[in-house]
Amino acid sequence: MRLPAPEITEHPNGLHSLHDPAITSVGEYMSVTENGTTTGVQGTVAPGFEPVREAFEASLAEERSGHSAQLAAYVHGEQVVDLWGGPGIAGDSLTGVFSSSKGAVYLVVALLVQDGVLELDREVRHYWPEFAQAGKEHITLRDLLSHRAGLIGVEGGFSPEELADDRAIAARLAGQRPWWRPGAAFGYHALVIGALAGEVVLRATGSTVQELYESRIRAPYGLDFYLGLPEEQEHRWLSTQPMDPTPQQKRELARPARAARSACAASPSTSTTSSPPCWRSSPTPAPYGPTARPRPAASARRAAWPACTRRPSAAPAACRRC
Amino acid sequence: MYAAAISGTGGLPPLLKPETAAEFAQVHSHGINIVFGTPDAFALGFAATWLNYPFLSAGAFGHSGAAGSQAFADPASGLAFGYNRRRFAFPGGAAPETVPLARAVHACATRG
Repeated sequence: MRLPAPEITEHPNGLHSLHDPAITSVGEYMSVTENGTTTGVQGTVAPGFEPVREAFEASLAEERSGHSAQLAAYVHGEQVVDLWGGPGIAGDSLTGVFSSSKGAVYLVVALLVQDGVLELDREVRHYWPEFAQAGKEHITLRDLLSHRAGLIGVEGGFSPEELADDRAIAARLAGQRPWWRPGAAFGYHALVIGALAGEVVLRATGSTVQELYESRIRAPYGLDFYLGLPEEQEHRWLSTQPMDPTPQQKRELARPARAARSACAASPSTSTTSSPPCWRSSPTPAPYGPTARPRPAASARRAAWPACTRRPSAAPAACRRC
Repeated sequence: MYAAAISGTGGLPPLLKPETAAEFAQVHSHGINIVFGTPDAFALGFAATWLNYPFLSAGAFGHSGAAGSQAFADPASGLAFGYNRRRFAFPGGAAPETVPLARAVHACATRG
């Protein structure tokens, strides 16, 4: 079974809050960067949050031309910051957020744990019998979620088609021997954690993560962040633009330690998402945590980034998962 | 989404009970990430966001994305944060400017 049309797109500003009366300092704030382009910070901040506007303004001005961004914040459920700026971006523009979408997957899992539908210390095989192969019999849901299972990839790698199908990823991982003894170490299951968690959710509930996110989180709370962009919202979608490194950053990217991990980011052919079809077919399209840093080629990393490390320029489906 | 998770929005209750949020924010893995060979940490799926943004409380949880997005909840201050950029940030992962932005938001949210 193929998962239904999931695209990972987020607009962090809640549209329902744009006219929140608590937000008083409405206005437009234009400024000019050193190369003469306008950053055009727009949006609102609540009283007392004016320094955030200044910080956002500064961040846009510091960047090279062509940079645009959106910033939103809530305190105790009330929106206090709703800002955007830079060329081409609007307050209601939608762009891919890559691994930030994993937060939605974990939120669905947390709800199911809270409901008692999933138990963190239950073995995964309880929900997903085929998982009990090749030394994975005792891996718990807690082990899986905390990146301790050692299932970062499969021998031989995934095809781009498989990477766009979470059920296919899960089916292959069910037969895979862990890359380390489960629990002995941890490593970012960058490309597969969504497929693994999603399979457990599907087996336990009969619903996909996307369906549960929509019915229990997005729709009731009116969120403007989708796991699978509805067709009627596509006109708001903006492609992710390729990295625009400075000459020094280019040199850094060329260093072997950086090169593998940044291959997707540095290659315009893979990071310019001119159309979103791959995102539509992969619910968790992105690895990379905030503290993660690269190192020279290792078998573990090759397992985690099979398509990227083998053919970075020819694997857009995989690279959109980065 | 993170505001809905810890606080609720629009008159709706929070999605997560405090104890659920606390468990999912608790560090479960810490040390060398065997894939990258570098120091790293994970909570239950979520990143241990407070380790990267030290002004946040230890219960803060969230996730970043490769092009430079970052979103998190900080239950202690009631803060939910979302940042997104269109151009892929160097060198990948949460963008460098996220730290001063999050610091400014947190400072405003927690000031007297």
